[in-house]
Amino acid sequence: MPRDDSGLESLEQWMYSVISHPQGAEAGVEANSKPGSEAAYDLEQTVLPSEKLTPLERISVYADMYFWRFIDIMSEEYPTVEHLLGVERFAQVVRDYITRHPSTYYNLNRLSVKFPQYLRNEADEIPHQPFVVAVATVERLMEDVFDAPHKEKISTEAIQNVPGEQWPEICLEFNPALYLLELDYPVNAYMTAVNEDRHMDAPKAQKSFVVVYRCNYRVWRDDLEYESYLLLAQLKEGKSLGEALENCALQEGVDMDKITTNLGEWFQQWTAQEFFCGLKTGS
Amino acid sequence: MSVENRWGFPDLGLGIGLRTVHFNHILEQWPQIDWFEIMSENFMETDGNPVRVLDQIAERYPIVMHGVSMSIGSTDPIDFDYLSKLKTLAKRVNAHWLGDHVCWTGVHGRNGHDLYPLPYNEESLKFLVDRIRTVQDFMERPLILENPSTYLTFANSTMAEEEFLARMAEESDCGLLLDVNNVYVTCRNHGLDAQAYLEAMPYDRVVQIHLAGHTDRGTHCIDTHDGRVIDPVWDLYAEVHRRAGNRATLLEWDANIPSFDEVHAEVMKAAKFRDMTELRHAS
Ligand SMILES: [Fe+2]
Repeated sequence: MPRDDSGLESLEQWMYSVISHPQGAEAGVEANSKPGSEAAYDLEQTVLPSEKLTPLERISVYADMYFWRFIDIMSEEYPTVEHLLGVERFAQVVRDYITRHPSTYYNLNRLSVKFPQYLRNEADEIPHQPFVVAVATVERLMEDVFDAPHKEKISTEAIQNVPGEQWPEICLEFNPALYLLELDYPVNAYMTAVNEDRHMDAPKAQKSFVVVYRCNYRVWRDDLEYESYLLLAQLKEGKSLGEALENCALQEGVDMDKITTNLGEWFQQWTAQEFFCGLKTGS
Repeated sequence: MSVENRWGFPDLGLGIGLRTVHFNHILEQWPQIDWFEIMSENFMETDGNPVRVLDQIAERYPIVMHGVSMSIGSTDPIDFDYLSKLKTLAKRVNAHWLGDHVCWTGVHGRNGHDLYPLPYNEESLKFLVDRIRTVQDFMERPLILENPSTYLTFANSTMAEEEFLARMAEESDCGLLLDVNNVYVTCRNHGLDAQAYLEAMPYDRVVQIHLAGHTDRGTHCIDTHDGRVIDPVWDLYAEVHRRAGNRATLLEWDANIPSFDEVHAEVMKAAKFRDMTELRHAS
C-alpha cells in the first residue's frame, strides 16, 4: 500500500533499499513490499510506467547504476586487484563490499578506505588472498598519497649547507605524502609488470620494502633496499641521523657498509624525490 | 534580446567542464576558452595535484562550481560540514556562482552518489523550498540548481517537472541551471513535450545552460555525457537562446573524453546561436 503523499522520507528510504539490493531491483521490490519492512510500498502503485518501460524496468535503471558506479570507481582505484581476481569476480567482490560497507560519506574518495581490511577479514574465499590484500593495501595507499596534505620540499642547498659534523644531530621532517611499507610479497614488482602488460604469476611470499610518495604532483611507488628502508623508517619516527644509524646497526642482517658507502648518494636522491620538507638539530 | 538574470550574474560565454585528462594541455597551452566549470567535490578534501592545478587555472579563467553531493532533496539533516568546505573552495577559486542538482543522493546516512528523483507535489515542494532557503542563508548566496535527467515518475507527483522547478525557484528565490540535454532525456523518458518544458522556465532565474551528449537505448535515454550534442538538443538550445538571449553555456563531457580541442570545438558550435561571434579570451 502506498503511504500518504507527505511520506517523503519513507519514499526515499524505500527507493534506496530497492535500488541498492544486492540481488537487483526485483528482489529489492520484493523485500521492501512486505508489511513490516521499514518502508513498504507497492511498486505498481508508487512508480508509473512509461510508454515503453514497466515500473520495474524504470526503477532498475537506478538499480543498475548503483553498483555499476562503485565498480567503475573501484576498478580505477584497484586495477591490480581487478587484474588478479578477473573482471567478473572483482565486480562481485565490490558488490559484496558495498553491500556490507555502503558509502556513508559525501565524497567518493573515502569509498574504499576499508577495502583492504575487508579483503583480509570478510571477503569470501578469494584466490591468492594474502597477496591480494597486500596489493590492495598499496593501491589504497596510493589514493591516500594523492590526496595527502602538501608541504613545500626542502631545498638541495638547505641539505648541502649542513656542516658535516652536525649531521649526526639532524632530524628530518618528512613529506606528509610519503608512506613506507614492509610487505610479505614483492607487490611493487607485480604491479609494475601488470602496468606494463607483462605476464607474471601471482608471486610466492617474499619480503619487500616499498616507499609510496608524491613528487612533482605525481604519486610514485619504489622498491627500497632493506637498509635504506630501515634508515628511512628510523628517521621518519623522528630519530636523529646518528641515532637512526645506531639503531640500524643493532638490526639483524643489516649491511652497515652499504649504508655508510651509499649514505651521501641516498640523501641526494631522497631530496630530489621530495622525501623531506624540513630539518632541525637534535631532539 | 537578452533577458537578464535577476542577480546580474554575467554571461561568461562558452565554457567546458574542467577534467583531469586535460590538465596538461591547459597548463601548457593556456587555451582560448571563456571559462571552466569544476565538479566541486573533486577539489575538496584533497591537497594533491588537482587543487594546485586549479589554483593556476583560477588565476586565469573564470570558475563556476557545480556539485553533486548537496543532496538538497534528501530528508537527512543538512550537512553543514560539507557546506563549509564548499564555501572555502568557493572563496579559494573566486567562484562566480555555485550549484547542484534538484535531487537527493541518499538517505539515512547512506550515499548512492547518484541523482535520484523527487516526487513533484506540494509536500516535496515545500520541503525543498525550506531546505534551499536554509542552505542559501548559510552560503550567503543563491544556489543555482539544475534539472536532472530522470528515469521514473512517482505516482504521487501532482505537477509536471517544469512547473515544480519554476515554483521551487520562485518560492526559494534560487537560480536555475537549465541542462537542455537533461530536458531532452527527461522528456523522452516520460513522453513529455520539451517545448512546453522550455515555455515554463522562468528565464530571469536561468543563470547557466548545460549541453551534453547522452545514450539512447531506444526504450529510454541515459544521461551519460559521453559524446557529442545531438541535433534535437541543439534545437532546444536555440530555443532557449531565443527566449533568454546569451547565457553562460557549458559543455559536459565526462566519459570517453576526447582531446581538449575536440571538446572545445563541440562547445564552440554554440557560438552560432549567440549574438557574439568572437569569444573573449579570459587570460
Ligand atoms: Fe548537467
